[in-house]
Parts: sequence; C-alpha cells; structure tokens
Amino acid sequence: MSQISIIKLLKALFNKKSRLDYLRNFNILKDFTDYELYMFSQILNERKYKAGEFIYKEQYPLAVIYLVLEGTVEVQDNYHNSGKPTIIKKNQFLGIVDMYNQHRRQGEAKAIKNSVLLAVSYIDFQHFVKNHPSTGVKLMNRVCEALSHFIYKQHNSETE
Amino acid sequence: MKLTRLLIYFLILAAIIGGLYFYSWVLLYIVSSVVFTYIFNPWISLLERNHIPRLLGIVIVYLTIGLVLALCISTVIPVIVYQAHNFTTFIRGASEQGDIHLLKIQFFQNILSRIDIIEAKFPILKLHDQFIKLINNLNSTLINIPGILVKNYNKILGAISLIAMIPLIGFFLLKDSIRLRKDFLKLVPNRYFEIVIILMHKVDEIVGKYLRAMFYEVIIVGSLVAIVLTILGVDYAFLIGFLAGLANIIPYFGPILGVLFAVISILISGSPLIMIVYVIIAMYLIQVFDNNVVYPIVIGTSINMHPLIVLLTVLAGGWSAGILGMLVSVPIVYLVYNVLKVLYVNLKEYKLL
Repeated sequence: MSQISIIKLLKALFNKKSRLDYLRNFNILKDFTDYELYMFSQILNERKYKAGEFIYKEQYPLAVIYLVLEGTVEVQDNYHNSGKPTIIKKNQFLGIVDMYNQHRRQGEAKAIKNSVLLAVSYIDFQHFVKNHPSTGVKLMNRVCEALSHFIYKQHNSETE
Repeated sequence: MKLTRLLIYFLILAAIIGGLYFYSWVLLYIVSSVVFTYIFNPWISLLERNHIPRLLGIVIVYLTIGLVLALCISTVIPVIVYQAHNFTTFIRGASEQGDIHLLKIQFFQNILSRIDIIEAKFPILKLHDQFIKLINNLNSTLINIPGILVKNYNKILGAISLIAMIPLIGFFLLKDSIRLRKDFLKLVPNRYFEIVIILMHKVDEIVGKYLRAMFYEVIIVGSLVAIVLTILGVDYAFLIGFLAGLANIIPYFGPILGVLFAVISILISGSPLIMIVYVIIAMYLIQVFDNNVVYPIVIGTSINMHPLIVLLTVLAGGWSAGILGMLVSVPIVYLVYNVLKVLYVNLKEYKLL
C-alpha cells in the first residue's frame, strides 16, 4: 500500500506541470522548455495597475516590454494607428514591435481594467537573447512573427 | 485618511533611519560583500546559463576561489611575507646601526661624496649634516612601520573578521540577488518603475564593470610585475608586484608608484644602477599591455578622469583616510560622478527634472 502511494507521489512529482507553465500562454514564449522559462522568469517583474492607471506615457524612452497576465490595456498609438486605440488583452504583449522601430513611446498605454502585467526591461531582454543563443533564436523567431503580423495588418489597413 | 497615511509614512521613515543607524556598524561588511558579489556574480550566471543550478554554481565558484587561495597561501604569500620580513629586518638593522648602515649602500655613498664636493666649495650650506639628518629621519620613519602594525593589532583583527565575513554575506547576496532585485522593484510605485529599472541597469553596469576591471587589473598587473622583476633579478619582486598591483587602482599615478617601489628596492639592495633603466622599460611595457589588452577586454573603455582631478582626489583621500583613502578615493569619486550623471540624464528623459 505504502509502495503504491510512493509511486503515485513520484508520478505526481514528475508529471506535474511546471510552476511557470502559464508563461507558455504568451505566443513569444510558447516554445520554451521549463528551464528556459525559469531563466526568462528571472527577468520578469510583476506589476499591478488599477483601472485607468497609466502604464507609460508618450515620449517616454522605450525601456520596458509588458506581457499582459490579467486584465486589459488600451494603447493609444499616435504613430502607427493615427490615434486609434488598440486593446491588448490577457496573454498579449505590448512594446516588442516598437523596440525595433522607435526610440521613444509614440503613444500612451493605460489599464482599462485592473490588470497584472509582467514587465521586462529592454536591456534584460537583449541580454537574455545574447546570453542564451538557442533560446534567443526561439524568442526572436516569435518576435519576427509578431512583427510580420503587425506589418501585414498595417499594410492591409492602409490599402483599405 | 490623510493623517493615517502621514503617520504610516512617518513610521516608515523612522524605521529606515533607525535601520540605517542600527546597521551603520556593519556598513563596511555590507559594502565589501556587495563588491565581492559584483565581482563573482558573472561567473555564477555563466554556470547557471549552462544548466548548473545557482546554488551549485555558488558552491563551485567558492571551491574554485578556495583552491586558488590555498594555492596562493602555500606558494605566493609565503614569498611575499618572507620578502616583507627581509625588508623589515633590513630596516631594523639600519636603525640599530644609525646612519652607518644606510650609508653602506652604494647609491647613498655616491650622493654623499657629491654632497661633500659641493660642501667643500660652499661650507656655509652644511649639506653633509642635512643629508645625514635626512637619512636618520628616513630610518626612524621606516622603523616605525612594525611598531604601527603592533599598536594597531585590534584593527588588524577587525580586518581579518571582515575578510572572513565577506564570503558569508556574499553567499546570501549571490544566492538571492535576483529575488532581492525583484523585491526592491516591487516597492517602487508604477509611475517610477521604468525609470528605476533603467537606472538600476545603468548603475549596475557602471559599478559592476568598474569593480571587475579593478579586480582583474590588480591580479594581472601584480602578477606580471612580480614575474618580470623576478626575471630581472630585482629583490622583493613578489612584494613589489603585490604593492604595484594594488597601486594600479589609482589611475595615472599608481603605475608610477609601482616603478618607485622597484627603484627603491634596487637602490637599497645595491644592485647596478642600470637595473633602474631595465625596470622602467619593463614597467612601461606592462602598462602598455595593461592599457591596450587587459583594460579594453575587461572594461571596454578607459576611465575618463583628468589627471589633475585624480591627483587632488588621491591627496584628499590620503588626508581623510590614509593609505586606504588614497587607494579607494578615485574609484569612489569615479563611481559617484557617473551614477549622478546617469541619474540626471534619465530623470530629465522622464521629465522628472
């Protein structure tokens, strides 16, 4: 009896999902192994925003990428969307495309519901890619994908 | 509500001030441990990137440091201690015999004979007596060195306890550095989060790079000086290497001090004076190697401080905290200046200034 329970316990231990499994819900992190998620989680900082609270304002330096863990964020992009607000929901992210595009925020972002965001500084992000080349390739692949989606969407909205 | 908030802020402030006062006695321990952490954290991060858990990484790094230290204690340090002992014995001998012993050295004999020639022409100057007086003063100053060490034994014991505590405090800082950083950022209000994270990175980069550069420079320059001087046959080569490595912390003037130690050694050992030329050339080549190979690899750029500011800083450091002040004043001023510059530029960018 006790042997069976030990085996069950071991099974449960080995089959249990990673504590950081929820991070795989973000498109850019979905190919990561448990260890890669653990390493990436070291540079994540959890931030809580109340409804209506600003996350960043226009002309701020582009320093931080945000992953939306809970809640909804409204981004007013005066450069790309000519002031039309974009809604960023759970498991989406903001700031990555701009990182390769601009040096300063071209709009502002605020939480429209109580939100929990995971913040990564751009410097940490760059160091992570540089210091973990194989994981960095996975990450950058996903970022490129996001960038191409964004360009495609931009192009379509311009031709319409 | 407002009163409650004010009361809480007051209590927090009181707790911070009280905490700072309470821990001020161990501030030196904390600062030294932070320096230790800055130097060795990249090694642990490197191991962690290679799938070695952080705790195991720290153990590996500590074992490596222990091994290197053990090797140094069994090989290099006895040589340094032996040379330091020889040097002190020489000085003690000089003092016991008054001015006679130092005047046995060829260099001082040459100077004295020239002084006698000048005095024969201008007896009113009394240069001979002045020179003998100078030698006596030099003797009595040098002989006081062991006395100072004995008188300050409690300080020496304090230094030993500091050295013992650094790896212990450093262990916790290394193990929990990421958690400490995250916990600190949690305390920062959302409005200041981005600026604080940028500042932390920049300060971390400036301080980390500088401290690591100093650490590697002291080791590399000290070792090179010791090896080259041993090859040249200069007495007290390891002792001079150790001192020259430490002096190298002071930009511009540190290397000159290194040369000075070697020249003094040549003079008091009575080696041929041509050795001074060889030593100057060798030390110059070591500096060229340091500036063009070691420094660019370790730190990337050079310390951009005007020589006059360096000189004034070293003097001020010497006045306020003696030899230790002279050594650490330039790094402290350099770091404070750069941190303030980064703070100013970034606060302006975020329109907080």
